[in-house]
Amino acid sequence: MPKLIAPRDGITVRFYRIGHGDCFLLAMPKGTDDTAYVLIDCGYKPGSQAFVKKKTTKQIVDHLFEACGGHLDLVVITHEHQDHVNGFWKKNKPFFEDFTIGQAWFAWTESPTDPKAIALREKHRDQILGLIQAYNSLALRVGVEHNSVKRLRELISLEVGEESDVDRTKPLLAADADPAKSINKQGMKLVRTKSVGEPQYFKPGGDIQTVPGTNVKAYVLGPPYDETAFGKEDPVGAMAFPEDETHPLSFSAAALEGSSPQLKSSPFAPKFHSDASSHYGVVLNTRDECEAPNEAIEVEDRATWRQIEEDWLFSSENLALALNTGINNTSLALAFEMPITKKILLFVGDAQLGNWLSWKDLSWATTEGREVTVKDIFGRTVLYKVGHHGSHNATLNGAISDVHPNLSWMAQGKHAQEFTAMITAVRAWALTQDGWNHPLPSIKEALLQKSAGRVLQTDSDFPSKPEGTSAQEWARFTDRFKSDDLFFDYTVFDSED
Amino acid sequence: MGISGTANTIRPELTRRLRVLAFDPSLSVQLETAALNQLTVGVPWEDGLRPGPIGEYIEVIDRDPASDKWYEPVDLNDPIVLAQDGLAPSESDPRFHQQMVYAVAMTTIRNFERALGRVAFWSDHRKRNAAGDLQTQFVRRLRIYPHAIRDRNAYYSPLKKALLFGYFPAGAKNTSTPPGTVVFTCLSHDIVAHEVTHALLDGVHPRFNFPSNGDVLAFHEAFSDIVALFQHFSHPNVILSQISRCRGNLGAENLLSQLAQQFGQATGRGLSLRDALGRVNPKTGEWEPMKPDPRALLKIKEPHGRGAILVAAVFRAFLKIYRWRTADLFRIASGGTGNLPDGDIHPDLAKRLANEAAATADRVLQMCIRAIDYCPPVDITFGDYLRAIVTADLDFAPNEGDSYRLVFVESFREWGIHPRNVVTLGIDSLAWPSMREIWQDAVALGSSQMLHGQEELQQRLKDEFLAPAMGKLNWTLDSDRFSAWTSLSEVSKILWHWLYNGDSIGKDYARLVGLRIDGIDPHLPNTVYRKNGRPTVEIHSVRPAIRRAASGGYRTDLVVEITQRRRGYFDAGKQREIEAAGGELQIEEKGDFTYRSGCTIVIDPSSGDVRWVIKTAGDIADNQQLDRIRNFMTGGEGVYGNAFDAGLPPTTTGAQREEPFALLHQLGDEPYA
Repeated sequence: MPKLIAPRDGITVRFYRIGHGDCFLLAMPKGTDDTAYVLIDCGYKPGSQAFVKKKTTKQIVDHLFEACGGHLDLVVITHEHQDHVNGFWKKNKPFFEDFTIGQAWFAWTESPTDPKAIALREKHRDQILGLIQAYNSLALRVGVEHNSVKRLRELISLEVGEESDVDRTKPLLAADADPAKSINKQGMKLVRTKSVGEPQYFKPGGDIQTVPGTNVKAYVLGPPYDETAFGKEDPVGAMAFPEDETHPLSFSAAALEGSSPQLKSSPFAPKFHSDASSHYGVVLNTRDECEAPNEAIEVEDRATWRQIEEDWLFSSENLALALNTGINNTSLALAFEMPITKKILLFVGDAQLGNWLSWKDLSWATTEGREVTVKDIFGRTVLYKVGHHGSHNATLNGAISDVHPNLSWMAQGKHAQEFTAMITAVRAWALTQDGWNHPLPSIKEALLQKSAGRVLQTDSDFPSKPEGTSAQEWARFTDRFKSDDLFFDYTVFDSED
Repeated sequence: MGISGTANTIRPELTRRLRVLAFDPSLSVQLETAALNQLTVGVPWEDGLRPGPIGEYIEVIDRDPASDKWYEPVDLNDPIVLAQDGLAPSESDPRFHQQMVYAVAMTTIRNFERALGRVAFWSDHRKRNAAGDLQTQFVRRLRIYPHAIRDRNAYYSPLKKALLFGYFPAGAKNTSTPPGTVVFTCLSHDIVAHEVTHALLDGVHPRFNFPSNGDVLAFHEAFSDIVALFQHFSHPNVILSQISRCRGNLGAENLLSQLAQQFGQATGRGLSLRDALGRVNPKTGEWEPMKPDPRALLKIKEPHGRGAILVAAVFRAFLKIYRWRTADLFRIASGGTGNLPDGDIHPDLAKRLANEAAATADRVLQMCIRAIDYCPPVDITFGDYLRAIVTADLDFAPNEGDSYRLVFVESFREWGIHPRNVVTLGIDSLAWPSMREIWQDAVALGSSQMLHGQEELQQRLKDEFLAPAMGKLNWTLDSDRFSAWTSLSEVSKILWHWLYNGDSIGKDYARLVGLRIDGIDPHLPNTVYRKNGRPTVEIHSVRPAIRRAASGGYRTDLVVEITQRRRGYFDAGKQREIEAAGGELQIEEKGDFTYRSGCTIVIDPSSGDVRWVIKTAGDIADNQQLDRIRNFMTGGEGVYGNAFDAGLPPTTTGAQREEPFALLHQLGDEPYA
């Protein structure tokens, strides 16, 4: 297999079909006849690879190794989720052990020195520990096959990373959230250590960056340097990034406390505590006088289906969802700009609503003194890596006149004819996860409309030509596109054609 | 003696006075609002009320599983407690929490019973018996767990027939509560009323949990908000202190709207209601009411946002009625100019205005609750609800002129709520049709076989259904609820048999009310559920209503809901294929989703006159309706869920959300826009 060579006047984006997750290799011209290699994420959801032409992570990584000759000029890690980072590390022999890495870029939230980032990670860790305890109690009480328990396990697994062959009938260990053990953390650590240059941690706005060794510029859109935006998942009825989970009366505190009632904190003074059997015998079925008079047609007081012993633990799913959104919103969102035509390749990681909304006020000054706004960047976007597997609220919809960045801002004027979207999703697998709706049909439809059919998705070999598109126009797209079982190659030329 | 064993005697003429918070504890710590927050309500006296409180309708069970504690139940019959109108408000005493949920829940139940003219029931528990048949069980009491979960959440569980209230430490972003203190959702007056209303609505319409169009869940939320809001406003004291501060003509209206918004914040729906009711104008810094947006419904799909539009439409009607009812007071007080002098208004005027506002709120509340007996059994839309309000009010106040009804029609129109298949927005075309009108239309369309059938049908309805049924009924407001429930299920059986046998004269009258029960009908697809070759019908409910009309007289009605089911497939091609192939489908074959249709009919039991017929948008053979529901179920009309679950309705094969209201009720954060 030959190396992937960048065209002299363009960028080739290799979209690895790794499973339900992200792995992109960008080949850019370097110097006069060399290629710079940029890797953006490498991860997948365990289980999802069985739903695309059977492949293994090793196959993908080996292929990647050959394509770049074992050297990556730049590795970008968007955020710490399994489906973006679990391809780097493996126990005993890490997948990326033999690579050399020039530079590594992260979001400011990964910075080892930023106090805000440190506090955020501590909070995240405490909450994960609480979730794991809640998960174990739930699994014990209602079983691992319960829908809510399964959903919870998937969400936790995204946060901590988990081996694909893990036995899900066994409890999760608190140690799994230990930084020393989590696959996610290990993968990120490996990239940091391997990076020759000092790892960089970006805040939005700021200087316009240059991809090492190339003339390609990079604008940092997110994550916002305001962690309150992380909780914004939904425009209405939004939940905050969970807070105060260290409070003794919080959910996490209760989940972490021992099983002995004496140790449990309560919002009320001991004088109000009651001996269950004295007042609530009817509910507990401890008194024999409580038979229902018409058992067949009237509900009994002691009916166990009316009890709520486990219900509080189900709140963990809400907490897990909020956490997941929070971490998705720490995604490093980058816009790469080509040197001549200034076309934009937009990689947003898994940014959701809060991250998107924060971009609207950003602007940059070029060396020529020109002001670049986000609307400007969106207008020149010809390639869009769709946020969070095409889910609800990770690609905002809206009108060109709206104040918040959205899909209709993208690809204005001549750029519209080139606009192409990439969705990292294995839909058949996602639907087995209690109906994860990835990609959301309405978002996919909007993308298909906007791009006139030029949407690449992990699990579909080749996009089909829409009716009404001329063969000539379609050929302009397919000429620049190559489909393989392991990857798609798509080239954006830095010229007006 | 167990708690199920006895029916408590309720003596509505006596009341038990109990202290509650008018809003939530955060107002008690602010000097300005502390007095306003105290309210004493009178709830119906229950003779056998036990510690809990456990009464006829409600059982408060104070279990806190996260803390692994049980809390001492309040005994409201303790002489000391009785002598001081219940325990004094206290956040740190769980017994006050129990007292408050009991009092607010009982007030809400009482309002329902008053409007609907019958005892309230909770939705039945359905279970499979040993033989595998579905069986329904009577649920006497709604269970309330005031400290069930540690979450910013409170919800009604249709499965457990219980309300679960959460508590949580207030976050740093919360402006009304100091960080670190604990917020109890069961101490918010409005949240309690809202959740109880969910349970009461579920008792009347158990299928309103199932979203078959974008309005269904929104309606559940909006209706619960409407009841909580207007119940709140019907306490004159709550409004009085606000009105005292108002100046000028429109001031009171703005204050009422702002009060409604505070309500929204208390129930965690601040953002939606804020958008629907009004906002502070950034230029002037003054609060301004929102102009109704007739296109809002086209844009907003999320149930709370959508529900807020219905709340705003009803609230607008309330303001208009209030304005017209107080116009004379303003004229008197302003010497005819309509402009009040600067400064606080006269206390007497404030009191009169507060009383008018409270009376108006009560009238609107009763209108809105009565309407639920006039809704289709499934697939409700906001437009259907408008027609239900209009029809119900025609029954309640036929001779009062159309003013109240017209105000509602106008407000709903301004918010873009249009009933489907209605040509004009006149009161007569908005009211549901009577059987007589439907019959006339059918005859005019040339169904000659029906020419002389109406009298025959009415006579048979009377002789074969109503006569045996009315003998069974035991349904007055003070009858034991269990025996009333038992008699109603017997009446359902009589009706079911009559429908099957009575219609066998071969004229297929059932089609007139939107039912297809003819087994040999060649146009009836095989996907419709059948038993022994005949399409099945479910008598969804039969319920009596003895209502006091505005004129003072009483009217008795029998409200009957009947539905049918058909298998739906997400793949329209597959659906056509199966239906073209014909042949009987196995009962185990459930399709991808269930399409339901049917009707609600309101019968005058003494004459056999079918006074109102409320059909769903199409009958069970209607392919257009099936397509519409398929489109909705597959997300064709937009979705509102989270990043994983798009919030689409449950399918017959997919996993069910265990608690449909739990996710919806996550309390919102502070608005961010």
